[in-house]
Amino acid sequence: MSWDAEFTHYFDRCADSMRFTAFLLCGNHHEAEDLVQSAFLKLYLAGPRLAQRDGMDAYLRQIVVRTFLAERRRVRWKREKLTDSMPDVPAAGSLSEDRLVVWHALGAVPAKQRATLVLRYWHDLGVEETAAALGCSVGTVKSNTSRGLKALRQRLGPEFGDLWQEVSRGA
Amino acid sequence: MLEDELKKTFEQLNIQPQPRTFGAVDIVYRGTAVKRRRRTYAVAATGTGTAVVAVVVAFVLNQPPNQDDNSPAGPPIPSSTPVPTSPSVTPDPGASSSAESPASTTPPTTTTRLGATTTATTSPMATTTRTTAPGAGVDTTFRSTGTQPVPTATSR
Repeated sequence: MSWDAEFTHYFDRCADSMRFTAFLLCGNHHEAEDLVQSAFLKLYLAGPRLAQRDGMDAYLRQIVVRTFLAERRRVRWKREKLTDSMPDVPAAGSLSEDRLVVWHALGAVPAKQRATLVLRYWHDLGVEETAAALGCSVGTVKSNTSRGLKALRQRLGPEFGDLWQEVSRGA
Repeated sequence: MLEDELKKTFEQLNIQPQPRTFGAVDIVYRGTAVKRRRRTYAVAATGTGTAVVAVVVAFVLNQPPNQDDNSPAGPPIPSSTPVPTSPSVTPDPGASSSAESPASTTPPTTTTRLGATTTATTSPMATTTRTTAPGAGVDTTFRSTGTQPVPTATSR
C-alpha cells in the first residue's frame, strides 16, 4: 500500500476526532480546521520517513497540540487580530447553561494549561503520556493541571461550586 | 468535581459534529505542492552555493603576488649555517692574492701591491676572489660558496 493510500485511509478514520481535539484546544471551529489541516500536512510530509506507523494516533495528537502551542506563541506577530466577540456562536449552543459557563471559563485558561486539561480529561491520558505529547516533564504536567483547574475555579467563581453541589444533590 | 464537569462538557460538545470542509485529497495535493517547492528550493540553493564557492576559489587563486616582497625565491635560510672552508686558488704564482676565510666578518679588503690588485669580498656565505695579473689580462674569478646560494658582490 502506497503512503498516499495509507494516509487517505488514516485521514478518513481520524480526521473527525482530531478536529474535535483541535476545537477543544482552540475554542472555535475555523481555527480548529486550520490547525488540523496543518497537522495532517505535517504528518503527510513526515510519513515516508516514519520508521514504524503503529503509534500514529499519538504522533498526530502530539503534532496537533504542539502546532496549537506554536500558533499561540506566534499569535502576537500575526496580522490577524483575534477577538472575543464571535460573529456566530459555535457548537456550544448545544450545551446546557452550566456547561456553557464551564466552556467559556475554559477559554480564559492559558494555552499550555488548557492543552494539559484537554489531554488529561478528554483523551484520558496519564501524566507520562501527556508529558510526552507536550514535550515537558511529568512535574510540569502536574503543575499545569493544578494551575489550570485553579484558574478555571477562579473564573467560575464560588457560586458555581454551590450550583454544582445543588445539581449533584438533585441528580 | 470540576474534572467530571469538564469531561461531561467535552462529551456534550462532541455530540454534534460539524461538517468537514476539507478532505484527504486536499492534504495530499498541498503536500505534493510543498514537496515540489522544497525540491526546487533545494536545487536552487545547491546551485547557488556551488557558484559562490567557485567564485571565491577563483578570486583567491587570482590574487597578484605581494609587490613589497623583494626577496628572491629559494629555500629558507636556516638559523645555523655551516661555515664553508674552501681555500682560494691562485693560478698565477706571480700574482699574489689573498682570500680571507669565509667566516671572517671583516669588511671588504683591498690589497694593493706592485702590479697586482686583488680585491676580496667576503661574506659569511660566499667568497669571491678576483685576481688581476698585470699584463696577463687574465681575469680569474674563484668562487667558493657555502651551502647557500647567497648573492655575491664583486668589486674591481
